[in-house]
Amino acid sequence: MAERSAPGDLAQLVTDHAPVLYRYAYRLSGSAADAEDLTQETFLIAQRKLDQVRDSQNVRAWLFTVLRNCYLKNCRQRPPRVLGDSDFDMDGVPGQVCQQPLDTEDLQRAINSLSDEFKVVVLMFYFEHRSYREIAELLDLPAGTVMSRLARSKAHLRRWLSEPTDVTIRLATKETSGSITDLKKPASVGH
Amino acid sequence: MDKRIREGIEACRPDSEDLRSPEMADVAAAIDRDLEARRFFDSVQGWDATISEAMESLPLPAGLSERLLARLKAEEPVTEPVVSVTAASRSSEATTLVGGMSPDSSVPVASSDRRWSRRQRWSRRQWIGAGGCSAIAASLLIGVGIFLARPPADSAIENLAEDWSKQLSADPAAWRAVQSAPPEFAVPATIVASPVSWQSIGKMAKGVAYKLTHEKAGAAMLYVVRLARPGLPSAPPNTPQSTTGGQAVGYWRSGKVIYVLVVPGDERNYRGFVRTGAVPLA
Repeated sequence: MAERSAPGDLAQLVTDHAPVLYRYAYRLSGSAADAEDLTQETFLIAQRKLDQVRDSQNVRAWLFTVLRNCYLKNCRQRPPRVLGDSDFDMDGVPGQVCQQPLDTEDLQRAINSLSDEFKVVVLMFYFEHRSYREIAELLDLPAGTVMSRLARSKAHLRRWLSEPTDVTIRLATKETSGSITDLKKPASVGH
Repeated sequence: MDKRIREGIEACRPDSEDLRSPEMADVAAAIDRDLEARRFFDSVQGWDATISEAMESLPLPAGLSERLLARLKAEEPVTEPVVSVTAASRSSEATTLVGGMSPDSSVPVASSDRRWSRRQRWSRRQWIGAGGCSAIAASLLIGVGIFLARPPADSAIENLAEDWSKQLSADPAAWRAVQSAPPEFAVPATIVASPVSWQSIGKMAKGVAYKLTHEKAGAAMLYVVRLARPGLPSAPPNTPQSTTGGQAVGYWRSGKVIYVLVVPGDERNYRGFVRTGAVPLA
């Protein structure tokens, strides 16, 4: 993790952290335009609070946190789509690791299919490399809730990524009175 | 396998010491004694490493840092005081930014909290003054907003289209089926090609891009954007305004929406996409 920028050097801050912040924002939002807006919003806040960006060891963590909060704040302006408490198909976790590089677009579609509360947890794990304890503390959630969300969302991602396209994946949602709905895994489009 | 063991295994980061923490002792013990747990652990660790790597392998849009720096330069830097909070005072993720940011436990606090603490100290006179200032500021903002809705005078539409093109190429997964396109940004009847997919041009730009395809003329891109741009023709020009860089670009306006048609090739290719009889270039 590159941590070269000194607090107060905004240009260096952008140079050092914009790429990783943009990628994180893209994984969260699923859109290039929104990712750039989120990245910009993050740096605007950093610009206003440069005196708080003191500990260069934690600059990136600080920026990740700001970006994540910006994303969550924007999320509240949309109707929530919540994966329900019904179990994912945990027994269906594929045992074999994918031997080929993952299709990054397919990965994004899998992430997009998660609700925000699952998505944030799983991205904090994979992208911020946070432990479940840290995630629980940062999100003000019980550790058990974080472990459960992690297990379920990771199982969902693996299942999605190990299935061929045009496969129907069953998702539990609370969108309509807690019923279980089918979501068709989309084929690649637009290329 | 026990649910607690399964979730514990899922919570272990790849190549970490997580399994050695005391609270994971039962998980570690299960992995040692249970072959199924061991296999599951190995499988999950492998998947996690693969997904972690894929998460970060994403192409960056061209000129990202330059654009960010340009926008930051336009902002007036304001230094705000550091506010310290304890973990106990955190009420929610959205209003408090936490994470051990600095050695003295000072953490960035969202503006809503800070505004509230200031509000408690304000007198009625300050409120009246602030209200008056807010009304004036709101009037100014409306005026400035109307002004900013116009593109910069020195910014040609072709440049805008080029920027949009860069945005879109960086996000190929965001193209959606044309049936779901917003009706307020529909493809006009003066376009003879068929739209195959569409994508929003950011949340700020208020517009969409369409991929067009034509049996004979090939492929093209159409941007339909709500933008105040006076002086444009009211229908697709027969002759595109620009034919440089290996592409022909024509643009026109209808109501509050402008249309920018970008066709690879020259005028001939361009004409394959617009209905004949359109008005000449204004």
